[in-house]
Amino acid sequence: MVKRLAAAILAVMLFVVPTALAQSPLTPDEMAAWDEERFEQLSSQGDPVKEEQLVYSVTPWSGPTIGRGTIAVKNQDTIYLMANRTNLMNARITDVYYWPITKEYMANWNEKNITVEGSLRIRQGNEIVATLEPETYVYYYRDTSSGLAEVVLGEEGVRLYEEYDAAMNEYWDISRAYYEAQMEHYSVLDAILRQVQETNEYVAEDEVPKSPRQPVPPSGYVYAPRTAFVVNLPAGRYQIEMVDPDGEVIPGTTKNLIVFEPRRLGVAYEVRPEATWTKYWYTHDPAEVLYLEGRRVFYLLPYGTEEYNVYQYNKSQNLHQPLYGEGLKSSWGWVPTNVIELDVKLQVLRDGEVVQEVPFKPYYVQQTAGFALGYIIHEYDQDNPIMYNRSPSFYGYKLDLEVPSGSYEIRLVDAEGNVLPGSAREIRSIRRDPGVYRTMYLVPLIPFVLGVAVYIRRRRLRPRAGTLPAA
Amino acid sequence: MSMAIRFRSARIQAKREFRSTLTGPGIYVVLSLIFFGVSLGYFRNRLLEVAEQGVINILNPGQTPWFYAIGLAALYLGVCAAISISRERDMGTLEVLFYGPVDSLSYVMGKYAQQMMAFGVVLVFALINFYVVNTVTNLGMSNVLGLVVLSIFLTSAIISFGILLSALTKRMTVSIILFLGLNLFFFAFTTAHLFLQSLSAMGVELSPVFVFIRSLLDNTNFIVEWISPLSYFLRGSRALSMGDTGQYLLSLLSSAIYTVVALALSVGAFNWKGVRR
Repeated sequence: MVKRLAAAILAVMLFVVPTALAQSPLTPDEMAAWDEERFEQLSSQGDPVKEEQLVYSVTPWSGPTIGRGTIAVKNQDTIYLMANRTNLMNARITDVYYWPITKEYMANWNEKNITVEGSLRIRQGNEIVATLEPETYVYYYRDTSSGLAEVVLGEEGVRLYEEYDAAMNEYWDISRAYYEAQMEHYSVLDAILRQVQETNEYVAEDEVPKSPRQPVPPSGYVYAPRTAFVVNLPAGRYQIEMVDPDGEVIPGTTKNLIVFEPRRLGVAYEVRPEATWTKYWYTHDPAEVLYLEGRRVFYLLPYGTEEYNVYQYNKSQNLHQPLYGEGLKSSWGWVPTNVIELDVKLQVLRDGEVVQEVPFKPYYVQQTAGFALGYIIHEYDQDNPIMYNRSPSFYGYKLDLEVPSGSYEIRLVDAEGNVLPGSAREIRSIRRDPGVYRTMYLVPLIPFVLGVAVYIRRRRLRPRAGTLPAA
Repeated sequence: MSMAIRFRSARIQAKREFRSTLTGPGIYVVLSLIFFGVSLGYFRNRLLEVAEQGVINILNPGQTPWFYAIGLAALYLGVCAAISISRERDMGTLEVLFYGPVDSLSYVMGKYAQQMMAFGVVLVFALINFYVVNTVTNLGMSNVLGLVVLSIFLTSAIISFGILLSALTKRMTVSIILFLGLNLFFFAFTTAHLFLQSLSAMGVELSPVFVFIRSLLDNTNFIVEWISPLSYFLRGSRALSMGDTGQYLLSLLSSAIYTVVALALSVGAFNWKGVRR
């Protein structure tokens, strides 16, 4: 029997292991390419061998910030992109090399960056889905301090850039005038100071000229316009290729394209406990419960999020790193998509009733005086001397809660009172007094006590030797 | 043999053995140990974690300890099922039993029903224990009904798996080792798989060897998740926390199919191998 079982297990292993190995991170061709590169690296040591390749340079949509982009080198036959999002792509000829320290393919853009002219054709089987021409786009940072950016296409992008360029030129002109006025102001002050020293007579405050006001630079930033193919497709499997003006497919440009969509949409919160304001973390899933110890003050900044397959998402962002995302095909993760608009309120509910509505506000962190560490978080007020000429440290909804029993619920509602899907979270305070621990350890003993009682009763009911009735 | 007789025979067996389970100390001691372990290993650590951090978030706070408690209790019942069949075969009482109005089907049904009735006792104690502990700590628990239903199907799958292994093996020791070994393997596999996946979520960069292992586990998982009863529970609990009723019902259905297939194979194994020592 044991032999048969061992044979069965062996048979299963013989089936399982090759199946798993067959889906190993690298295809045989990639393995060969990998070995070849490793051999070449051994001979060239720190200066990796570069190879001229036709690559796709991809800037996938990556949420409210601009990702660093990725490249699809010649031995990567599949590109991954998010569905219904603005993804940018270009075909270029450059020198590609493998950098073993970070285990990634790199492109030597600075020395070789040749645009492959033509159109990008997208197919599903034999059916042509779209033939794209390069479009103009800009990266637009509405407010540089937030780091949040968006891609603006076409004329609108060019207009934004021109407006930004004009605003910057105006700012430089005003700045130049400001510095000249400031120099003038200093010389006047010097003259007044000399006069005071010579005459020993104070000058009235209203006679001292006011210093010129420093100009404020434009809060946003717009990159100079560039061109790329804008790939915005519904989920599905496609093939892409570059075609020249004669309609011929350019060799080496055919690749598979997997466009994937999220499994769930939701709202994530960046949670900043007041006690550790720089150590913030996120809650993404509505099934997550926030636990507090006693009364706690914390700040919530909501984001729109989408849940993607981790393998596909990682491949879309880091195709140049062959090992990145391998082994994560069954894993799902949340990706921030956008900052929730400011006209949204946070409601706190107790037993289904709204007990508090919290507005979205800016906050400023003031370090406490002295050598010891410490800080105070104030509601931001630019007229307050502490915050004069300073920006808010962060934005959010302030919650000051204690849940003696049961739980609170929080959720976001828009201006029309609609609850934002996926924004609800449960909040609870834990109890930790010694009685809690005692109960926690004593309750598990209930079955044991009952078992002992049952056992004793059974022993009592069991007929003793010599007490059995005679047959 | 008519189905009515089979059912009657299975019912009598199940009732007799369930009474024996109830009057024995085993199930009570095991449950106390499991609940105590969960209080010490899970609830206490969560309380300490909240106290240390001030504010934390926990995904599906009630599901993890429930899964450990019910999983271990189901494992115990699976071992009991495996032991009782192998022991009866070892002692020769199985053969004697089959001279009466008992056949493979009624015997397997009886064994399965007895363990499921015993699981009813487990559920009652588990609900009391978790209700009191979650209330006094205020950790709370959601989707209780969904979890209870899911647990019944998980236990059903584990017990039928135990019955199948003991029907396939003639020696008690072999059936126990095999049952525990395979379940331990499934648990270790799932833990390792989830752990290596969670490292990427934490931003830990793995060496190529670990990436290869992760890849191997991820690809093998597609096979293991159809064999391991624990995977059925995990799929169901994931669907529950996502509020995905379709996936939840699908996981219940697949657990039920798993049970029926395992029990049918057990009946087949009895018919094939016979009931003699």
